[in-house]
Amino acid sequence: MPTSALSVTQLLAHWRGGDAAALSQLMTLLYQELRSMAHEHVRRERRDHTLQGTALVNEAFVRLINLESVSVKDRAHFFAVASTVMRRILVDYARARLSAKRGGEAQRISSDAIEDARHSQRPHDEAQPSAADDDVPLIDARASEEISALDDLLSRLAILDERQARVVEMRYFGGLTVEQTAQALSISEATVKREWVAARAWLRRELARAEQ
Amino acid sequence: MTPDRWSRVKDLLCEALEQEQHAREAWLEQACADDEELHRELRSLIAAHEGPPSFIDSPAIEHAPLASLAPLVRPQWIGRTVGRYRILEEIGRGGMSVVFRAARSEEQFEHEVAIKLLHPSHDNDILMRRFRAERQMLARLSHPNIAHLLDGGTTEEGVPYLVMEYVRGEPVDVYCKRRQLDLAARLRLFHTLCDAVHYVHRHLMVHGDLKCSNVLVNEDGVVKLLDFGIARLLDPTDGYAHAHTTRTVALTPESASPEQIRGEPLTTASDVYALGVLLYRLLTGEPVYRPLSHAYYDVARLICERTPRRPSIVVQEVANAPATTAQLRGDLDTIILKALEKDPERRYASVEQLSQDIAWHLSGFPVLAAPDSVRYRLRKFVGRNRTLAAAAVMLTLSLIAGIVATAWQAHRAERERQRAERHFDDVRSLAQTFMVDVHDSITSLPGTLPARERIISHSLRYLDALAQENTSDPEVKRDLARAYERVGDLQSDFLASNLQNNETALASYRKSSELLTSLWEQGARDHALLRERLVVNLKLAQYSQSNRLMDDASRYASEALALASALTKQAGATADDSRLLANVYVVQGALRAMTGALDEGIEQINRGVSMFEQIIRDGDTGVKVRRNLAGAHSRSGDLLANIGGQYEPAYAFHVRALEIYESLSRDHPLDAELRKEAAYVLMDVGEAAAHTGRAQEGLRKRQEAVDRLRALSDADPEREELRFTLGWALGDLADSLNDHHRTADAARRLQEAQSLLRALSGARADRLNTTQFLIAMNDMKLGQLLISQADDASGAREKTLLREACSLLNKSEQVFVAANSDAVLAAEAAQHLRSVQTALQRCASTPLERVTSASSSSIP
Repeated sequence: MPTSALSVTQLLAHWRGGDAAALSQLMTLLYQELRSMAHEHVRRERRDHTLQGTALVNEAFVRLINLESVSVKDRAHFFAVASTVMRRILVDYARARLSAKRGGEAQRISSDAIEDARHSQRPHDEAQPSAADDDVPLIDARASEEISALDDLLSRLAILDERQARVVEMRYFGGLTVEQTAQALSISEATVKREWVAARAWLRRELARAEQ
Repeated sequence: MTPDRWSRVKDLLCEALEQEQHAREAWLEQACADDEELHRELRSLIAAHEGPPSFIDSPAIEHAPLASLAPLVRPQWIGRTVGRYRILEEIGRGGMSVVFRAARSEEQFEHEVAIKLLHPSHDNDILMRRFRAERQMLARLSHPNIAHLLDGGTTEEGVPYLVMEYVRGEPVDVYCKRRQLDLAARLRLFHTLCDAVHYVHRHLMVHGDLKCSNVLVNEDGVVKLLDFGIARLLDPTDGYAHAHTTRTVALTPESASPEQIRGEPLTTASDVYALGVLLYRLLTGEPVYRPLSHAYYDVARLICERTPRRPSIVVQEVANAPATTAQLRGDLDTIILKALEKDPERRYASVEQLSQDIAWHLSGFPVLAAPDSVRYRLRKFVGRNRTLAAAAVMLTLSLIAGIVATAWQAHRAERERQRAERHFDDVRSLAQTFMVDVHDSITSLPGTLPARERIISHSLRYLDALAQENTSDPEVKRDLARAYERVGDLQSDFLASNLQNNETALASYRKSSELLTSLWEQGARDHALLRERLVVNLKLAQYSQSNRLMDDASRYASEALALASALTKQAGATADDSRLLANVYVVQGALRAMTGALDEGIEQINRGVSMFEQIIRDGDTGVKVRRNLAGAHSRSGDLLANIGGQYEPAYAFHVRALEIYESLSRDHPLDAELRKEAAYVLMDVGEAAAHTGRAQEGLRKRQEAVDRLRALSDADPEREELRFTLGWALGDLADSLNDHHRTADAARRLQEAQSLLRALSGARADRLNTTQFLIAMNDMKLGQLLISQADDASGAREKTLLREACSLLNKSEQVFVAANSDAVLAAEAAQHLRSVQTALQRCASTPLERVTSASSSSIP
């Protein structure tokens, strides 16, 4: 029985070796892992312990990757993929929430904490869970609006400048540092900062325009 | 806009931002030349850049509610006035709140209070309504051991707060530990706490969050209970609208009762449970459960399903435990476990009863709590939750099968390892929970060597990485030292199982020792550290000796003796510290005996023996001390027999050791290690009996040893140590059979032994080792046996037998010659060499000898 740690490391290697199917498998796996980790975070935060929002992607990296066998390159790839996946998760969640709201359907909150915790323990081979499975609200209504709007804007930005859109994806959705983003995209930190500053100005402006 | 255009805009924007602000507009005019649209674009982007931050300025994951406490953290609270109080400093924070020390500002004499700012997501209206409804009740509570709730309100920005009496003190567990309070003092503190809790129960309130950090003890030793009624104020399900929210929000996992986990209402019985958790920690220094992870499900399952380990057993494993096994066994075990019953109805009916039992125990009366019945527990366990019970049974089954368990453990272990890489704090849980619990849970099960090997190698790699990263923090250092020691244990244990040289274990112990010594030099000179240093030195001495590094061993043993003497002289030294000193005597004695001073060595071991016996007389009848005592006897027996050839006294020692092992095995019938050790001692008794004219007994004991070892080895075929010992025992048995003139039987046993031994990895190793030595011994025995058979035969048969015998004897001679230069084996080798050479004279007297000798010269 291969553990998830092996799988992620192996998938990264396969992907690097040119196996395109490995990427989609990797994303499916990360989707489930990151999603359950995000929920775990919400629960943990409520109960106790951490105060800062921690970069989930970093935690996922430590949890899922066999640290001895991972190269700097693999690490960069992992962060890149994980950021995309985080974006997918949050956008899926935001959209589901917004559509539920528009449909007038109340948010379902489970009272069974044990059952709830069990979701995060699910093995990876189970069906990909839908947002309706969530027992703990990952993001609130306002954040849902924001994330949804940002997702649209990022798609527009990607047409103008794909790399810049990736920078935003990593910084905003992945929570990566400038250094990590630079490594993931094989560009200098100075470039990341410039891209980020310009993209942020553009996004702020476009968001403000959308509100008017 | 096109990509090219945007690229230009972007570049210009970055350049523009690099300009000094006053020069920027002029720069833009020039850069944009006639392109009015470009100019507008840039101006709006610059405006956005300089404008207010937006949500994109922090990562998505930090959005509410993921970073739900952010509003509490951000504003600068210190110095502000909340209600009538000026906030002075932060004194604590939890998941739900931040606590500040504050003072009543307008009064002449500063009246200090604690202000608890609550998570703003609480429904303020409900909270305040409830607070007003209950404040009368809360205000009526007046007890010297309860810190009162004084006031409550909402800040300007809508953060709800509660004002409480400020207590300058430290959590009760910290207090007890720092002052090294004895058992009775701890029980008295706990008794006072029970009275306070009972007082509030009488006012029809429940605490709901009793834990060490809510029980403070001030400078004068007065217990103060914090946060009474707050759990209830915060409880979102208390008859209000949010009927479906989870109730675990405000709880601390460690002290949550099973009913709280299940989401049932808080009752006084929940407080009884929490008091049980607290008492468990105060008396053992350990939490009730050590979950494999902090994942909610793991914690919840333990709380709902696992019967807590008896405190009296737990303290056997705790260094510097607040109480001894003997003190906890009986009343206190029963009291704590009754408070910790899963079913609220099986607990004490009230805190008063619990309090009464503590008082009775303190004064020596029998207690109310009656021991639990196993049948009841089983019925309850299965009845409570069929799914969980089924899962637990499955898990147990697979653990026994050792198949699924291995994969599961490895997966779990890997995750644990990776998580810990990020958190130094987790070193402790790795070292203790994972290595101890996981490893120990499989170590006495046969057939788990591959899983154990994996655990060891993972742990070691992980520790080396941690040790390189950061060793300045004394706590981390200490945890690392412990972890290294633990890995050393696992290695030496594992290697012994596989007859491998344990230099790697020595390396781990050395790392542990270095860390501990440097801590000591940094000035951390407490009892526990002294003890840890001693234990590691003792292990270094033992394993250096078994690695035949006699000088190193003596050095470590002397150091251990100095440490042990210092330790037992300290105030608060325990019986277990004396046990360690006794062990130092045994190790040192054995070393002396091996390096030429047999009598002096035995005398030294006897000092250890008397100390063990004293400890047992004083009431500690645990496995450790009895095993140590048996080990000391058998050590003396070995040394007397093998070095001094004094089999009569050796026999007496071995018989005593056997008696202890037999009684230990009876007490712990499932412990494979104990059975193994008992079989070893049985061999020793057989050997000594055979050498002291007790031929019948020798044969019987040796046959029994073979039978037991065969069963153990069949159950755990991967374990080379068992096959090795079985090979040895078969050789011994052959001796006894030979003594009874059953030469054919003897030869059969020896042949079986040789085929077992030749399959071991040691037989193929380049370096001389005990396996090769044992093979040589059996070759010699078989050779001697064949010569005696040849003596009774004639003609061709005589020649065949002699040829075979001489070949075997020649092989063994070479090994014994090589062993002659080995520190430990030399004496025995010399003795065997004489026998072999005597037997070889028979070969020399026949013309066959030259042929056999020539053909065997390249062996082994």
